[in-house]
Amino acid sequence: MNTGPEGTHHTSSAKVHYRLRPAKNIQRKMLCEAIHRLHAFSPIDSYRYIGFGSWYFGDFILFHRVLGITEMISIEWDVVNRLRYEFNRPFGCIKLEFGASGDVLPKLELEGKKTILWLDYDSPLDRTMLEDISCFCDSAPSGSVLVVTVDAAPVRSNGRPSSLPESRYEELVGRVGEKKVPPDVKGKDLQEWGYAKVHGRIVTNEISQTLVTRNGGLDAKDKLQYRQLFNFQYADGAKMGTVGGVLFREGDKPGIERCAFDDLDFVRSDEMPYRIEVPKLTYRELRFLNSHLPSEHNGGPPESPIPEREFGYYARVYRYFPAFAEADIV
Amino acid sequence: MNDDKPNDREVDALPTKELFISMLTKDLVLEDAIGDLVDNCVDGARRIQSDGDFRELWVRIEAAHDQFMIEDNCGGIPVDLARKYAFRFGRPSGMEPIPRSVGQFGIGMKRALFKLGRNFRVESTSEHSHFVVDVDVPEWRKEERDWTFKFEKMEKDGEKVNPPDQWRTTITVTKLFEEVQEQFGLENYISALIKELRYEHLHNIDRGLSIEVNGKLLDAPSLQVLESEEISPGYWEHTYSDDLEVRIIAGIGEHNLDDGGWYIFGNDRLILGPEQTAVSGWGWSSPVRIPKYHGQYARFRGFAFFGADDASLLPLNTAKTNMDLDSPRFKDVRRRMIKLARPAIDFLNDVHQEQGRLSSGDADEDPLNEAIELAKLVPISSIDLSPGSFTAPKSQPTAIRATGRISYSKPLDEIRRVQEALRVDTKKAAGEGTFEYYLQMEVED
Repeated sequence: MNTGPEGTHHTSSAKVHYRLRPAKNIQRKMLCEAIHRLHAFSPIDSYRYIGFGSWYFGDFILFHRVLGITEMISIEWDVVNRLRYEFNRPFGCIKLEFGASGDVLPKLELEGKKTILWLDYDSPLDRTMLEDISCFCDSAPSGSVLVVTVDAAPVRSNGRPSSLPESRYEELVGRVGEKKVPPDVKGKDLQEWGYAKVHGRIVTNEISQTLVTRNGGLDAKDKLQYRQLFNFQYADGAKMGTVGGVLFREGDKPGIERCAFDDLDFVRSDEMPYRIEVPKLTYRELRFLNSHLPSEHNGGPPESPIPEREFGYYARVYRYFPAFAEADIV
Repeated sequence: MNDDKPNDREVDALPTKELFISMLTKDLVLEDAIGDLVDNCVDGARRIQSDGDFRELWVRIEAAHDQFMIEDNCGGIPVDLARKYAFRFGRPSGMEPIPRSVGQFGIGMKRALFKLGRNFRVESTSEHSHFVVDVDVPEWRKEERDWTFKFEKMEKDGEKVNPPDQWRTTITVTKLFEEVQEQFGLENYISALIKELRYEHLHNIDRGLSIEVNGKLLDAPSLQVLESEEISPGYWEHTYSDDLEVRIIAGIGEHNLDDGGWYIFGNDRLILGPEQTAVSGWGWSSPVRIPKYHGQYARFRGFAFFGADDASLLPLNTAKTNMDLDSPRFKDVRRRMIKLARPAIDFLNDVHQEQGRLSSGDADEDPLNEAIELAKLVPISSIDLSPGSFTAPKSQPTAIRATGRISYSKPLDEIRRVQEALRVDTKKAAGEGTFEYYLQMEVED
């Protein structure tokens, strides 16, 4: 887990294992499925993946196994435990770069290689994160993918939630700077999922602004566009928001269209989020429901004591749903 | 509907002379006005020496209390050029540009003359012509509808050839404005003007052009960076689709707070520098972070060269005193400048940290500083540049350690009492002893 040098938030390694966070687990598999579709544009195993692997490397394991990506870099802020991170590398192709993402990213020669970058922060959006976003969008070649996840829970100051709308607004301005807050945003927009929405807009604005500057030096066919693919919201505990998409040259548009991202029902190109709801079901119920899915082939919810709402949640995510079981593997 | 006569439906939008005489002159400072006149001399030099060899050419400036004069032997102004261009306000759109000129708006000379005083006289002899224009500005202003300047003397003969040693332009301004007289009376002002012209025209001086201000011959400052096997500047070059050429060099040089920063040139004329503000990327956080300029970066040296045959492609403002900050081209180049500067800035930060460790006793070697000492200052023109990042030795990984250092001050008698209670002799031991005591007694495992 990684933040800039100003960040007060540290690694989340000490917190819950990512694979035990079901919504995050579902999101990761959905991202993977969408990224897989890039194969229609360019062979996916020729991409590079950059992420914050922590010491569980959940995203690295999935992307190496499913996508076949072999060039992988995990940026790790926690230099003190360097040896433990090295020890936990699940595959030999993962390279560890120690330092704040703001220090490491500028040194990675982003120009040369199509990259999937997942900035999976676990703290609220701040200036240093916008710098990481700008750094990537300024250099990444056509076909590259950027995904940004931030904590979208109302922020506490001095241990207390900032309850007054004005203080929430001031707190947001303090984190990202007045120039980055969209002009129509008010304090009252910053409650419940409002943070996730506003964070998403700020990230998208940063991408757009960076591309305008970058495009100033380019001919029309080489100018870069950003197409949003992801706008996830979920809460395994704290509310989290993810936005992301693909950068591509105007001239590469047909290739990107071949990927048919819109066929995936979780793809979102606007401010309307895809909320990942985790159904609460027993193993017996899971197995029963699986035999009646996909629901369009089976004519709606089956007769059972399972609440229809839980069925609805499950029907949307069952292909990505993690099934945990306690296993003695030591 | 009234059947208005056509002239009742017209609005007179003709600019007033007042606009040009007063308003345009307020947009630039005196040194820049004089700089504009020197630019015109250099344009003349380019017309007769397109290969850029200016060794026989000179510009002489005399700035005195009662008169300003600038004289050059850079080919003279052909009378047709004078008629169609030199005295016109604004460049006619059909005008053939002088390759690699910096003038693009056709207002520099007039604006400069209006800025200096109330009377000007331009006399010029070129290969085939000779003319004199003498203007009393208050008189000229009276005739609001008459925008012509009249040749006092004019000879043009396609057959007759004036020998090159007679080619000359002399501009004299008299009845100087009071504020101009005051400035020209100050030695410090003349020194500042000399410094500005030395930098602005360093490339032209390097090419052999001799520029004199009140009898002092200007030498060109050398643009230098440190180079060694370990340290070398970053370089980027690009030719845009409209033929704008850009070269950027970023490295380190001597420790000098005043001279650190970026130097930005347009067609070899210094436009800005040393630039230490957001204009050249200081304090930006996109695409990568560059801190605001301060003492830690006094060694930073960056050079950006914009070049184009057609001066209108250069992203400059009209006075050539700043970049056109809204130009997409300039914005693109600035992000390159920021990216190219970053490794040098990182290195200077490492050097600063190394010095901190050295003075606090946390380290007893300073390899980065040694690398700087071993590097030599070389003119950028003599470096064999190829695109790439600034390189310098890396900070030693030993800097990463699992211990930290605490230091604080307390009254001496209190320290003595703690030393006695702990039965130790040194302040260091007193500090460590109290820390360990607190850790054992108050902090859970």
